[in-house]
Amino acid sequence: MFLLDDILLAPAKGILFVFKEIHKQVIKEYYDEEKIYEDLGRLQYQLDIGEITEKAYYRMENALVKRLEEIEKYRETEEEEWDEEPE
Amino acid sequence: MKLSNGIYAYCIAKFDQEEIDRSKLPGEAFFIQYRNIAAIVASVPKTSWQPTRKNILRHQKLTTRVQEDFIVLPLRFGVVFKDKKEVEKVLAEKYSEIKHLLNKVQGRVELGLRVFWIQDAFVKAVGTRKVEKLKKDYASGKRDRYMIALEAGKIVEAAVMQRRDEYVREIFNPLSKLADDAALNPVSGEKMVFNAAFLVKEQKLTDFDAAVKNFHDQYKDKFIIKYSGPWPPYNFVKVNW
Repeated sequence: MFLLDDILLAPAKGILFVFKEIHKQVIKEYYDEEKIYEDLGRLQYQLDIGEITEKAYYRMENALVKRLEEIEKYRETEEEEWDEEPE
Repeated sequence: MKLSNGIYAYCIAKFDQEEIDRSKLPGEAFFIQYRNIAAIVASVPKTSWQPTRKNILRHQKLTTRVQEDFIVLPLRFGVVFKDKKEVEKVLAEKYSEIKHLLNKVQGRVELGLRVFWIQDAFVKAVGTRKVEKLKKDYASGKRDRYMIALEAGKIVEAAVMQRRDEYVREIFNPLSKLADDAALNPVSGEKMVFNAAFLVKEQKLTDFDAAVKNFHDQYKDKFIIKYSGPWPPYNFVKVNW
């Protein structure tokens, strides 16, 4: 009863779709390497104009570098999963 | 940039003599030679090429140190090769291009000039009558505050861009005339007026320093001026690896 199932589950499926899309978008933004490089540039700028202290700079830089490491690991996991997919 | 193990490359140097004087290379570095050029490299853990300020400064420091004794083609931060063979292959393939670029930069250095507005000067530079009126509207709550903020943002952005153009004409352009080449890099924040690099002949360094000092004296109440160098010419040599 493919059609009936679809109709019965339509609202739930719609919400699930929205959540999946939001999740995808969040993941995409979180793992955006370019954005992290931009943020690193912005940090340097804030340090230059005295908006942040050197201590704050290094703390925030550390957090961004950790994100880069996570991206590296995430990509490796994705590549492994891709390699393991059965043909 | 992939953070895996490999050979990290700092720069390419040209040698006049047959043998490279190893004692002139800084501690961790070694070289991989092809004819009269060599890549100055190091085997370092992958954490060493994460884009932190400390690592970037180490890259700059080492390349600048090599530049004291050799003609240098600096590489951008983060160039990593799989192994020694791969470096040799690239040096052989790109030999003509590298030789041409080495000749271009011989006897020249890069100088950096980054200019920022001081807070008060920034407010003055972008504060128009329109913005003042919008500020009043915002405070009174007569109109939608989101729309007011959006409108003010657009006006400020246009004013910043116009002022930047003016200062490029007033400061960057005259300095460019003293240089062999000049580049404007993207600004990294709203209070940055411009971010410039100049390729200057070593004999002209004193004149260039004096010109920058003049601008500094003229604008010191308005701007924070960060003048740096001499650097290897990062902004004027692009080798496609």
